Amino acid sequence: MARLRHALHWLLLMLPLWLGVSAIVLRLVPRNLAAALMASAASAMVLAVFAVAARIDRGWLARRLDQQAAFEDSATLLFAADEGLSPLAQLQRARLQARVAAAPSLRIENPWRWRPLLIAWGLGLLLIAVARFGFAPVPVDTATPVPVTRPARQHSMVELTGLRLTIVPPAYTGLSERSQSEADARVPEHSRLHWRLALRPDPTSASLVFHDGTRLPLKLENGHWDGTREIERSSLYRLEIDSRLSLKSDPLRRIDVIPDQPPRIQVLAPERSLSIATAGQTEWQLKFEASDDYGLGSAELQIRHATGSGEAISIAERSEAVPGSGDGRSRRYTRTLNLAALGFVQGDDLIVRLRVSDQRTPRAQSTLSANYILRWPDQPASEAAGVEGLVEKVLPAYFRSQRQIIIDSEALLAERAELKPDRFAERADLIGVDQRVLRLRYGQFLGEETDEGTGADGDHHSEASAHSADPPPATAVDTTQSVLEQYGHTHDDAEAATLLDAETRKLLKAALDEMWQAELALRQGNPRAALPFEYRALGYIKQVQQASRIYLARVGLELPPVDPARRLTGDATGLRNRGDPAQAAKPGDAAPDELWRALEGDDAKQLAAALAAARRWAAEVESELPDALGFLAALDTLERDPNCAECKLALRRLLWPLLPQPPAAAHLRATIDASGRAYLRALTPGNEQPPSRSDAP
Amino acid sequence: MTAALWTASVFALIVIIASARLWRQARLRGRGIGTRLALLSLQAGSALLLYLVLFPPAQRAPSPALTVLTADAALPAGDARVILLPESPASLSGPRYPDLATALRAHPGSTHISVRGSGLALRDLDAARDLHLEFEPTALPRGLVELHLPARLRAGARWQLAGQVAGVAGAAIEVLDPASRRAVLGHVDADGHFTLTLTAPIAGRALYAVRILDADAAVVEELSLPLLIEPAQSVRVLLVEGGIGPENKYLKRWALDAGIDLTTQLSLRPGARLLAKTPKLDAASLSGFDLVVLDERAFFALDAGVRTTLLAAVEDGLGVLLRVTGPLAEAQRRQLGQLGFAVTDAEIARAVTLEGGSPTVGLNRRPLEVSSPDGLALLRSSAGDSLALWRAHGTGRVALWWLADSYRLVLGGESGTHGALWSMAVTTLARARAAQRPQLANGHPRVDERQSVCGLASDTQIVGPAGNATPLLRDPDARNCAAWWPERSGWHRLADGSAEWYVRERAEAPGLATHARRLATLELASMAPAPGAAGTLPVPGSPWPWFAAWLVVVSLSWWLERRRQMSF
Repeated sequence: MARLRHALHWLLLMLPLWLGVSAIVLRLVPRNLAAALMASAASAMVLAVFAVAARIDRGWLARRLDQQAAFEDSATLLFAADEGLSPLAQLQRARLQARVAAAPSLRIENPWRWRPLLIAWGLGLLLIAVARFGFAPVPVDTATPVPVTRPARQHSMVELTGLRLTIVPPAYTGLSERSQSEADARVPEHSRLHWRLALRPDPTSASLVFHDGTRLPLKLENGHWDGTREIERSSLYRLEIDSRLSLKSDPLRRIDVIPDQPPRIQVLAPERSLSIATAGQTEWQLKFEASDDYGLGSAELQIRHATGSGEAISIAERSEAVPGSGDGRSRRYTRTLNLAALGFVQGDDLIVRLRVSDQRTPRAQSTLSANYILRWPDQPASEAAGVEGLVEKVLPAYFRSQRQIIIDSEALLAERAELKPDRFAERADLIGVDQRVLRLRYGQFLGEETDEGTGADGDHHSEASAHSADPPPATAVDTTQSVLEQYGHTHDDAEAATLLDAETRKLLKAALDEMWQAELALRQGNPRAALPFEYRALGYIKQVQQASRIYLARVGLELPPVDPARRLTGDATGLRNRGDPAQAAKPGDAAPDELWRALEGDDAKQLAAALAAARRWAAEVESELPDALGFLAALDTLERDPNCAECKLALRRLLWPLLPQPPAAAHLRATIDASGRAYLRALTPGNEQPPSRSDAP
Repeated sequence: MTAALWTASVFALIVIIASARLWRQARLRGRGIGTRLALLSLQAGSALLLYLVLFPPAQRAPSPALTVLTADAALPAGDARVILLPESPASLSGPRYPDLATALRAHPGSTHISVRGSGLALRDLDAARDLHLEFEPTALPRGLVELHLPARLRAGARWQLAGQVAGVAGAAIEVLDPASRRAVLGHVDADGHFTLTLTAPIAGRALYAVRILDADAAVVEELSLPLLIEPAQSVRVLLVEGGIGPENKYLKRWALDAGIDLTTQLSLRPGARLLAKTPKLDAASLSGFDLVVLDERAFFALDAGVRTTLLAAVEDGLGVLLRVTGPLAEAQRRQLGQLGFAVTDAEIARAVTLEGGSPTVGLNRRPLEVSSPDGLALLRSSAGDSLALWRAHGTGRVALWWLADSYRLVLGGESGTHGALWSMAVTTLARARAAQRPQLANGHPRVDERQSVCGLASDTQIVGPAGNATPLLRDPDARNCAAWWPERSGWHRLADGSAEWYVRERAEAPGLATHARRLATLELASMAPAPGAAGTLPVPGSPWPWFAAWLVVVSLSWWLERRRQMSF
């Protein structure tokens, strides 16, 4: 009874202190750690109480009894065994036993010590109050529940108890919806993915976080967490719940996207890309075969019909839909072109190609076949016998040659009798315009100012000033060049001015002078006066054409101008050493290199930094990496568990192909030791002469 | 002084003292001179016999050959004396010994052992060193038996992996990189030898793998190929050229990219040079370079004094590479002769292809015939002609190079070959000033084998894969060597960071271990002393006959001495 009371006393003494300290611990440290601390403190308390209770034994009773004067410090004798007691002790015991029997009941329990109890309870209440208000993380006036009051059940790890991933492929694929219980999936492009997760216990919020940083918040409905997203590219994702709770395991999951392949076209006929039309051919047979992974869309045959020759080629283009035969995934297209109906004549080319699209949404992909040409060769050109014919064919058709101007002038003179004077003057003026265009054309080679407006014949300086009076609003691409074009006026082109050698320039200059004169006469309606100038201009041009050298405009290398005064004089004053401008090439991206080194070492901090750098790098060059997702997943795994040796090995495997190949380095041989040095010196023939160094043998 | 000599001296002393006493006593007792002399001789004889009892003279006995069975051995036919070493197959029965030395002590006098199986382990080699040893090796196991790779690998450098495969006809060798992708594939020749060329990756540890495939491409054996790649060292190179051209442009490009500390001096015309870091060609500044690369225009334009300084610097360890790019005058040939190269013009084709290079990239050489009695080829054409020679001059090296246009390799898309070519040239010629590195005696260290490492600069520790450190105590009298027994496989590094090695598992690559044992035992057998005279050996003789003789002599002397007294 005394023991129980003693224990109770101590329990009551310690309980308020435990409660108060626990309240504070709960506010200061994480929940699970606090629980562990509280439990250990409670068990320590219970142990202490038991220990205290165990002290209430026979010895304690004896000491307690001895406090009574009547026991004469001999209470121990009452509990001693009979044997072995001296007669004197037996006598004293008998006396005590008699007194005990005679005495009224003794109160031997420890008295309640109220003051320590009161102090303990006061201290405990104070601690609880401090914990309640002193560390309150929320403003006192809000009524949000304090985390301490959260039911203990929710302090445990949240566990994913069920997962159902429903994959709805896009309708055009014709694939049926499917469900799976694995979180990793391979899905067709643009599939809609529906996650239904069961979590126990339910957190306040949950979302799926994708590796590009986007989040898909999940909604809690009927005890399930639901979310839907359309997947466009392969992704890694992970389940995240509200930050106050932790998941039992949250590995990185992977969704691989199977991209929709564009249609493939196989051309069965014609066999070659260039077919030559045979004599009497009236139709052209075309056969294509196309296939697609999900389904073919429309097919369109593009037909281009090129007519004419030389510069006078005109192209008629049209396209027509081609019906195919076969199922949705593989079709055969046959089309026979009726050549006569297309107006296909000798010298023409017929160019066809097939465009096939698939049914991908939102944007269909289409594939073009190669071009197939049916050519009906032209008759061999009869006039291409001499140089002139060739020249005529090659020269652009939009300005007339000097020879043509002469022919026109002579024709005009021959028709003079039938023409009215004003009509004659008008036609002479037209020839004069041609002559001007030609003159400007040749003038370009001499660096003269050019004016592309063929008919306009005015003062272009005034045109330029008109431009400057009304400047168009400056655009973002204003460069020096464009400013010059807008406001300035290029009088000549230095590039063109040095294009030709002096003799050719002289000839051309003379031709241009003659053209000037011819134009003058033509504009005045006097073709007869113009003819001699025209002939002379033609003569000069022929001489220019026969000049042997070909001149090309310079590109690229820009050498500094040569100073003719100093050239070949050997004068080197003012030359400066500009050093060697060569620089070492920049090595590639440093991140994989550093990660490789960090994976070898034991420095956890360095590894963490290298992992973070590698993650940024991989996100930047994701499209260039062969298995970016695998690499990112391996990075993530190691970041979460930096001591996992297998993860390190796996990451090293993935990292290896990404490492740059260093240039072949040189290295130094190890130092030659003393005996080697002496040996090498002895071998040198020169050392038969007096040695240059004292240590030489 | 041996025990026998001590005993003999003591016996002689006792005999002398006792003889003197005996002589006096006998004379006092009035013995005849004959008796006295007989007593004295008997006493000396008994002492001699007692000595012979204690140290019986050795006898020569015919020595029987001891048949030692090692790993993979079979029990020999006949009644040979067989002992089994721990490596021998467990199925064999016979006396087993923990090592050869114990077995030899148990069979004293064995001077002739016949080793069967794959050979003696490292442990037993010393015990067998002075014995007459015969070795009948068993066939090598199927798979890789030899693997050679350079002791040091530098980032980006080309290197060669050579080895031998036994028992697989038409085998292919596949080297897999750390991502398990094929790095190179090669085939063995008729003897099973192979040589593969690989390019070292970036600096660090890399665990490659070697796979032996048989003719049907089935994997016979796979073993790890741990590589330790060292980062590039900064080699100080001075490039002095008499003009600018593609050769020095691409040489500069390689050198800068490969981390070489490059100083250039390019002549543009007389009196005008492009200088980087303004080098001076005097003894002081030349001692700050490891290699000087010159073309012949720059070399012959140097003052005679500068040339002498350059040669003196070569004697002190500098490397010089002289590129011949144009025709040489007679005086210039003489100067090259002073460098140790005899140069003559030759009517040979200029077009060459490099040995080991791409056959599609055609290069040109100067049509020269260069000979040097102590010159070594630095560079060879695919036809085997030298394109560059080097020779030692003092502690430095000097090379003559007459390949005209190595830059064509870069233009032909072979910049790797170009880099490897110049890397090799610079490495061969540059000044030897890298620190000596501790080296492991065994090429393929494994767990539970004694590994000795030599050339340690100080007492250090070896740190194993689990971070466990083992102190190494070096012996300054034995080339600063120390040894330890690795307990775990993986990378082991010296605590001072000077070296690192990979220790294989005990059972990994058994062919390599077998072949190493076989080679070591064969070497021992080839150096073994000839069998002793008629195969006899000295054995300790039996003391008992000598004891009997001693007893007789002692009894005789007793009788002789006590005879007269008994008659009293």
